[in-house]
Amino acid sequence: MSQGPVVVVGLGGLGAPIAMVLAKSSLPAIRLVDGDTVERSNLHRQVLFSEADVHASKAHVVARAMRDLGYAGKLEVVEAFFVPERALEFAQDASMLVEGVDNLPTKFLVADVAARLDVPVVHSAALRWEGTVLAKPARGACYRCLFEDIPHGADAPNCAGEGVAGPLVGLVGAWAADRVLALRDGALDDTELSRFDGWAASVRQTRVARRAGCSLCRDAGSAFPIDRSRYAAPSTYCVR
Amino acid sequence: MSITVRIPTPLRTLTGGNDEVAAEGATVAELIEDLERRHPGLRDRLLDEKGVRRFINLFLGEEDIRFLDGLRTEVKSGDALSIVPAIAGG
Ligand SMILES: [Zn+2]
Repeated sequence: MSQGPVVVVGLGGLGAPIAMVLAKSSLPAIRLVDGDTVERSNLHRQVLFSEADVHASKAHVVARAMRDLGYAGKLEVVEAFFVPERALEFAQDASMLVEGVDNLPTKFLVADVAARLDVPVVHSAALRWEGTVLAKPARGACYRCLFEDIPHGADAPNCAGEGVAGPLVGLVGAWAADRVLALRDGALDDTELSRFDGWAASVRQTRVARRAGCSLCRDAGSAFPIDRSRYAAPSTYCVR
Repeated sequence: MSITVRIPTPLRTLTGGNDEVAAEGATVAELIEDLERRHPGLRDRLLDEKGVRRFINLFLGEEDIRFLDGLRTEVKSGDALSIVPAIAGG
């Protein structure tokens, strides 16, 4: 693996614990990307943020916490959202991407950028009592092999009012970070999907194979245009 | 035979909040038809005219049915079918 930074996209309920675990690693460089600020309404489900951080940049608060934990590598802070127009710039020189973002278009965007850069990527999500972590080596099956494209209309998940169980985001985030280190160590040959059921306290793991005809894998990411029109938000998706 | 079907969070409004329900059938397609009888509206959330919705994956045990026999995949007693949609959140 190159010495380029592991780029953490999104520093909310999942991104913060991901960064905390990575702070204890020997990764040579980490880049934190989030344009959001800490809101009072975030505090109950985000382990890292306290009252004193309200209105501060999430990326800066997380970076400070990583230093406090003893992270000694190179730490870069990008106080901006990972949007199509700037995603390649923010991911420049990345050795790997990891995301815990709260919206589907950005998850697809991260997948597309990782393919373009030919680097591994870890996707993580948590909703109510369930979570998923997809860990993809550079040449493994991608997010689009599994989920094809941003859902619209009847396909769009209706999750207005969904909440995330606090302990579950910590667990899923820690597992996502663990998979980052596994990919760094070359421990995964194929893409691995982990599914958490926080209610039944179970974890299921599956190997994911490439889907024939996957638009992203077919182009090997190289010709896949990273253009805003591809990432239009569906009419409904999980927002909070 | 009765098969356990694991329902993901976004679809539990259709199953009275249950995270696991039972369905009968010899293939995945038959299970989905039975699910529709028991929980109207569920089939449309899983299938469109072309088959399984692009946004949904069905796992029989640990295997994605795309790599088995698709909707014609045979099921046997003790199997569990998991519905895995893309989710965002955290
Ligand atoms: Zn693919």
